[in-house]
Amino acid sequence: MKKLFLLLTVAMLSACTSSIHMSQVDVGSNDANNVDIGKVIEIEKSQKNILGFVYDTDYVDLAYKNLLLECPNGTSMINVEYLTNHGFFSWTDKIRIKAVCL
Amino acid sequence: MLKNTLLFSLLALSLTGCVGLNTVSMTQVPAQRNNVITTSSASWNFIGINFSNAFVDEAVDKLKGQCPTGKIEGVYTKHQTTGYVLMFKREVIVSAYCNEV
Amino acid sequence: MPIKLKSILGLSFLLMGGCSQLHHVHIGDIDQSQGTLTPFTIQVNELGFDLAKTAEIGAEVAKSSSTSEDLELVAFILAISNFGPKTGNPVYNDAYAAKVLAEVIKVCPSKKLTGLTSVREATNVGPVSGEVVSIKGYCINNNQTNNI
Repeated sequence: MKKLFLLLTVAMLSACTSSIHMSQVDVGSNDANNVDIGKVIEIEKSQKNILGFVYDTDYVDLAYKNLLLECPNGTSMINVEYLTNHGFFSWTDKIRIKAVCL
Repeated sequence: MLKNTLLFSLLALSLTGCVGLNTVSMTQVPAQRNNVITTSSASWNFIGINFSNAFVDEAVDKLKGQCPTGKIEGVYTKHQTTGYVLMFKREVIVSAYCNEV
Repeated sequence: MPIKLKSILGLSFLLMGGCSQLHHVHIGDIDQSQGTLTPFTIQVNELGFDLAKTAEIGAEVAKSSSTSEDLELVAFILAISNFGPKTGNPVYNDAYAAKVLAEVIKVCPSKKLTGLTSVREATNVGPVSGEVVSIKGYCINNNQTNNI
């Protein structure tokens, strides 16, 4: 009974840990750094990873392509976040991009 | 037969590298995006022992070489590591736009 | 030395000795040509907690062998349930840095920014840590720009 309680507690506590590896904010120079807060877009792409067996990082390129499509006139501010959601013998890597379109 | 299968599996495993993303960074995306320039540079090491990170400078030089008179904008950089058996390949992949001022 | 005093001393060192760890830095362009610069800092943080490491430490210091075995099992379950690359200690909220862009936009009334530095860092106290994302930068002072 004690062990069952212990296992249940562990199972509950072990849920959904994450790790943010980096969060970068960048602003344009000269004319572009006059931030006119227009459209802020948000893009999130992820890749499921089982025990490290993945062979490309194309999800990041896909997120960047989406950014180019959503901001045809370019960006004035950008925030890139790279994080991992941990799981049972597997994890999910995520890229989140937030940008202020010009 | 079992020995051959094991050897083949080991060979296949050593040739297919698993990739891990280290960092991603982006600078402001310009409106003018006609001239895309891309480059990459890599450095191999044994069991993760490195003595230099000069491959990063190599990527910068290659990028500058592709846009000698223009302005390099919208720099998108991926730093990733591919792991093979005992060997690792560190790689910087860069894409940007070369715009004449 | 009595065990209680030892524990208090150990705990004090642990609490006082918060180690700072730098994970990632990104420095952007700095434009000093448009006026004086007013610095600002935005910092978001979240409690990081390595439960598996805590259980491992518990297993090592446990007096009875059955407790030690239980804690080893707990550490093992936690380790396999939280697989994946980690920067600092794991956190239980993956959206703690979600507002940094909005905060950076809000902090600068002139809406002219330059020299943004993004830092991913942590302050560790044993298996507990403060996982931090900080954005430092400068607002370009509008009045100064006009004067120039």
